[in-house]
Amino acid sequence: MDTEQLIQNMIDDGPRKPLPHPMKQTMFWVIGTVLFLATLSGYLGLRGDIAEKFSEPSYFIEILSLFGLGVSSALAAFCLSRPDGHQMPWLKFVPFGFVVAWAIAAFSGSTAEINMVGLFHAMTLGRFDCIWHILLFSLLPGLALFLIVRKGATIQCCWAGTMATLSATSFGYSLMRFLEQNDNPAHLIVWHALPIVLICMVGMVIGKFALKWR
Amino acid sequence: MQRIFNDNITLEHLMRLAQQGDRQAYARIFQEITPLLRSFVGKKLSRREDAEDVVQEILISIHNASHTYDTDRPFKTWMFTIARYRLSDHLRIIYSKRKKGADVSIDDEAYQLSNDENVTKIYENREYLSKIMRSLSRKQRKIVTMMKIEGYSVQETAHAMNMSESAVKVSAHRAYKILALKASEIVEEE
Repeated sequence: MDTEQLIQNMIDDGPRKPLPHPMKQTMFWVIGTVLFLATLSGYLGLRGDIAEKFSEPSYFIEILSLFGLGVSSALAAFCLSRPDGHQMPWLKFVPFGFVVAWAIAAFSGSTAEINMVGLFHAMTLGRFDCIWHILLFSLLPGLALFLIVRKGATIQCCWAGTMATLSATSFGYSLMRFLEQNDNPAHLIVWHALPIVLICMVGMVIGKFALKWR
Repeated sequence: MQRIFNDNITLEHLMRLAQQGDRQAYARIFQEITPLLRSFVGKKLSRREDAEDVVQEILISIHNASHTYDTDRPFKTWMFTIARYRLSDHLRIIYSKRKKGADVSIDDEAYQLSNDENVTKIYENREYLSKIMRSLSRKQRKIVTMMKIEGYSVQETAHAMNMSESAVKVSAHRAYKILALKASEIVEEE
């Protein structure tokens, strides 16, 4: 087919209906995820000391940072679903700022408790249920996020996969912090944070294959 | 009825109209961008048929991704991102075929190298290229090959070589100088 004929065919087709703005997509996805997690937390029951915990500034900032992490990485994933990344290449680095804020809020008050002995001890406890819970809480929102991102035309598919997974798991992690009455920093590092890093790596690989624009 | 658009109308505005269902605006976009894409691809591929195939692939991709364009953003940035992506795909296929031993024209390689530094005006063949490329260090050879033959960007080359972008630019610039010098020496010898 010659180029002129091809162009004529595409003109006859007309352009596709534009996707909603990434901000709008993020807003809808976040609202959906929060409602889903709120329903889950209502069913499973919040931790007993939740009111007391919210009076602690470090806990409050930790939750805020996790929320910021979830929202910013979802926005980055939606922007990355455009071939040009919505022309904001810096956006995919913003979530890492929230990771730093979360780490400071979560662990700055308990640095003395974070040592090799504590981490090793936490490892021996074998709390795989925490990983399963985070996975379970993140699965549906993550699936929805991947499906929406797939509607675009992703060029940086590994980044998009990582951001989508990071967003879903950070919301899953937040819910765990609302449910589980265990604030031991070694436990949080070994059975919450490290699994999320691993899940994000898996998300990156899934993104490479599932989000690739062909 | 054929509508006449103002010559100063921007691609962003045309795309906005097209997304609202204006087929003539959509036609005008293709009319405007096709020469730009031909020129862009022509700089990287010498064989006309190959270049036209790639232009068609890019046009199809632009059409298929038309729903991802935000009319508040510059159109050309969006368009050339797609063009680069499709061109890289094409070059990747060529070089993976070459790795498997398939026949690939050296004309493309000679032509691509000649674009920027004008060093292969007289000699466009593999022997000549190999001769002048031997004057470079292994690192410089790899950078020139990646950037001028395989079509990688500075950023991608820097990533692959584990170097900073500015270091790649400096190294490439030095390599071009060496190539130009070597080329002029060969011309003088002959």
